[in-house]
Amino acid sequence: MGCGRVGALLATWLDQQGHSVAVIDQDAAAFRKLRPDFTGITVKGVGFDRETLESAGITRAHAFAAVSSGDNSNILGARVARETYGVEHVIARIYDPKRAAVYQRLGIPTVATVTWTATQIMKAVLPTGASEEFSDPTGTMTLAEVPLHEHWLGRNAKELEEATGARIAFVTRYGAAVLPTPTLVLQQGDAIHLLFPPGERERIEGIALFCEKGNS
Amino acid sequence: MRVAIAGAGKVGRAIARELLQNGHEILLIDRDPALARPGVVEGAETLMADACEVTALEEARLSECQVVVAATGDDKVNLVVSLLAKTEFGVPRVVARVNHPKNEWMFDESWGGRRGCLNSTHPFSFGRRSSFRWRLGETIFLPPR
Repeated sequence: MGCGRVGALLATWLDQQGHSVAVIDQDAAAFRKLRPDFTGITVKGVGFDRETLESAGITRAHAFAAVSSGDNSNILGARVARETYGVEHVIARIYDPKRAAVYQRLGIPTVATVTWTATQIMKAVLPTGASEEFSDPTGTMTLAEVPLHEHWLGRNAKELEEATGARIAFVTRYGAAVLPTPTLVLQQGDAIHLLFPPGERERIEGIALFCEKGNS
Repeated sequence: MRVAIAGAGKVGRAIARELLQNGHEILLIDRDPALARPGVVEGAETLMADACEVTALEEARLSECQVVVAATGDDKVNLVVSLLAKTEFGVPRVVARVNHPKNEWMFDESWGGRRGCLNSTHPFSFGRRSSFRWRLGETIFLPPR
């Protein structure tokens, strides 16, 4: 649902992988974004309208992606696809960050474009904070590279762990990852990868980067 | 009683006037500055905002409202506002207007409500005399006339 840049790209990828694709858009001109060799079908209409969805083959659909420019249309489309037609895999792109979180809680998987983009840009413009590398499936444990204040240089791994309460998963030194021993002395150029619950992030950043008082 | 009304068009303003006459505290929310201007309905508070945005509803102190009315001309907005009012802000009574007959089928229990009518003589009186049985936590979807 929605043949903008995202919708057209998704349709192209799925089509190229051999899936059967139907693209819905209110504006027939939007279908010009599809490649000339696109083999799927295009349906002009409102994406949460039953007739439109049915002519797009919603009853046989394995998945439904709502990626139009309207948050409200996307959520209506996603809900109708799931509640009315029982489509198994449904996802909605939502710009408004708070609404995205609400719908996620209500059981509609969302892609929060604005939050994601802003986060990526923040990482690029402020390369000082911890950068997340892994999050466990429950979202309660994070692995992140945490930059260190120079006052940590010359101190050992155990001291950093005790001060932050985090675990050092590994240290990247001279281009290779090494497992830390408690007595490993931290030195300039080390990249420290810490494991910690995501809620602890700011406190740990404060200790590692701004030498705020930790546990020690 | 504090009532927030999303949509300060003809329908929203008419509801606001009637509720004000019954002594209720009214907040009109509209994203159109011409409609959300102070004094658009004498005695009603106004807020210029998109009622579908959670931050706007927080600013509107929706959780302190006993009733929320989604009366915009856009059925998508009315569904989303009614859902947010109920699930995010725990508003005990929510009413949403259905504008287009073609959309009526969507306004059902999957959005936490049922289609129904309010007391025709005193639709928003909420008084003891109101004969309409409106259970707490229930959203009423008003079909198009």
